[in-house]
Amino acid sequence: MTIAAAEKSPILEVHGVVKRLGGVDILKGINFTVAEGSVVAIIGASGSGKSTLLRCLNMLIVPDDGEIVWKGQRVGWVQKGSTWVRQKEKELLGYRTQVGMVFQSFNLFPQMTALENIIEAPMTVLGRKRSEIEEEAHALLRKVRLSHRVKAYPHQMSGGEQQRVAIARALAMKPKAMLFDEVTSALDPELKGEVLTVMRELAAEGMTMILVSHEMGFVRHVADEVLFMHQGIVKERGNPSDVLVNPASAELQAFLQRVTD
Amino acid sequence: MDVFIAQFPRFLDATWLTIWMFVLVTTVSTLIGATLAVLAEWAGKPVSLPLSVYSWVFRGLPELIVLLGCYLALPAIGLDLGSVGSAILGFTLVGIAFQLEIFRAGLNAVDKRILEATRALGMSWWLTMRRVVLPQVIRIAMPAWATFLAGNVKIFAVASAVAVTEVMAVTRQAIAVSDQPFFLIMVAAGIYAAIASILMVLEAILSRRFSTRYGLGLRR
Repeated sequence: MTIAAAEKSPILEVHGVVKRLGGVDILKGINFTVAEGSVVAIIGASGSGKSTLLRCLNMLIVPDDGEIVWKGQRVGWVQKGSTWVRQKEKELLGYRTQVGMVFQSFNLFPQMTALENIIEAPMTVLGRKRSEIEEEAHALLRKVRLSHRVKAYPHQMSGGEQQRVAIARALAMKPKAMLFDEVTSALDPELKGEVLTVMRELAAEGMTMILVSHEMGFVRHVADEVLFMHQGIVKERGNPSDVLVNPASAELQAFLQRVTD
Repeated sequence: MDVFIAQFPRFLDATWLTIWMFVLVTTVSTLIGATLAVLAEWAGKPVSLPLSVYSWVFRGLPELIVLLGCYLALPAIGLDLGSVGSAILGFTLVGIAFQLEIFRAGLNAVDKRILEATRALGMSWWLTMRRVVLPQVIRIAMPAWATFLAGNVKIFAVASAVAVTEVMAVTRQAIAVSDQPFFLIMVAAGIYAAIASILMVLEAILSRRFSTRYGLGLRR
C-alpha cells in the first residue's frame, strides 16, 4: 500500500473523545487518525491525559463522549435499529485481541515463565494448540533477543528483559496495531536501548504503533506524526522534525526544554 | 501405664475422630471461604460488606460459644445435629471466617495492574481469575493458610465440651477412672503435639516449595 492510499483509509480514527474522571476533564475532545503502518507518538507532561487517551483506544477506559473507529467500525457501540447500544466488557474482548498493549510496569504474570507468559492468551483466548503457538513463541523470543530466557520467571529477569517479553506476549496475539504506554520510563538508562531497538525494528516492519513516550530521540527518528498534549487537548501536531524542532506554542517549548535537560 | 493400655483403643478412636473432623472442616471451610473471597471481589460492596460482618462475628466469638450455640441452641429451633455434627458445623462457621480473610488478603496482594494486561490481551474476568489471579493467590495465601491450620488443630479440644469423644474427652474420662492425671494429660498433649507437628512440617515444605518455584521471599 502506498502512503497516499494508507492515508485515505486510516486503520484507527479518534473523533471528539472526552473523558471525565472524578469531576475533572482529563480529555476535552481529542481528534486524530492513524494510518495503517504508521507510528504516532503522543508526548506531553504528566497529567496531560496521554495515558488515559491510550487506554481509551482499546477501551480499557471507556470514553464519556466521542468515537473510536477501528477499520471503519465504531468501537464499543453497536447499532440496534436506530439507536446505538454500548457493548459490554465481554463484547470488547474480540477488539482488544487486535490491538496489543505494552505497559510501563511490564505486568507480566509472575507465576509463569517467559514462554508461558507468551503462549497464555493465544491458548486460552484464541484457543490455539500449545505445540503450534510454542513454536511461534520461540520465534518471538528470538526476535526480542531472549532465546536464552525461555524458562526464566519474571523476577529472574532485568526490567529490559521483562519489557521485551511483554512486547513478545502482545505480538503473540498477532495484533494489527500496538499501543505502548511509556514502556521505557521504569527502566534504567542502559536498559532502555534494548527495548527501543525492538520497537524500532517493529516500526520498520510496518507495524502500526501508537506510543506515549518521553524518549524524544526515539520519537524524532521513528514517529511519522507527533501529538503534543496539554491539559486534555492536542495542542500541537505534525511531523516530528517540524514540531520538535520549531515548537509553535510556549507550552511545547517549555516541555521540550524540560525533557531534554 | 495400665490405664493407658486399657484406654488405648479409645485414645486411638478419639485421635482418629479429631483428625477426620479437622480434615473435613478444613476442606469445607477452605473451599467456601475462598469462593466467598472471590465472590466479594467480583460483586463488590453489596457482598463484601455482609461478609465482613460475618467474619468479624465468627472470628471474634470464642469457639466454645459457637459450638454451644450449635449444640444447645439449634435444637431449640428444630435443628438437632448431634454432638459431632454440631462441632463440625461450629468449627466450619469459624473456619470460613478465617479462610475468607486469608484469601481476601491474598487477592488484595495481587498486583492489580496485571488486570489491565489481561484485559488488553482479551482475557475475560473468569479466565483472568482462573489462569492468572488464583494461582498467585494460592501462592501468596499458602503460608498464612498453613500457619492458621497448624495453630487451629488444638482448638478441636473444645469439642469435648459438646460431648464429642475426642482426645480431651477421653483423657478426662480416663482421669476419672484412674489416679494418674499427670500422665494422662501428657498423653493428650503428646497426641496434639504430634498432629500439630505434622502440620507444621507440611507448612514448612509447602512454603519452601512455593517460594523457590516462584521466587517469592528472599531467595532470588
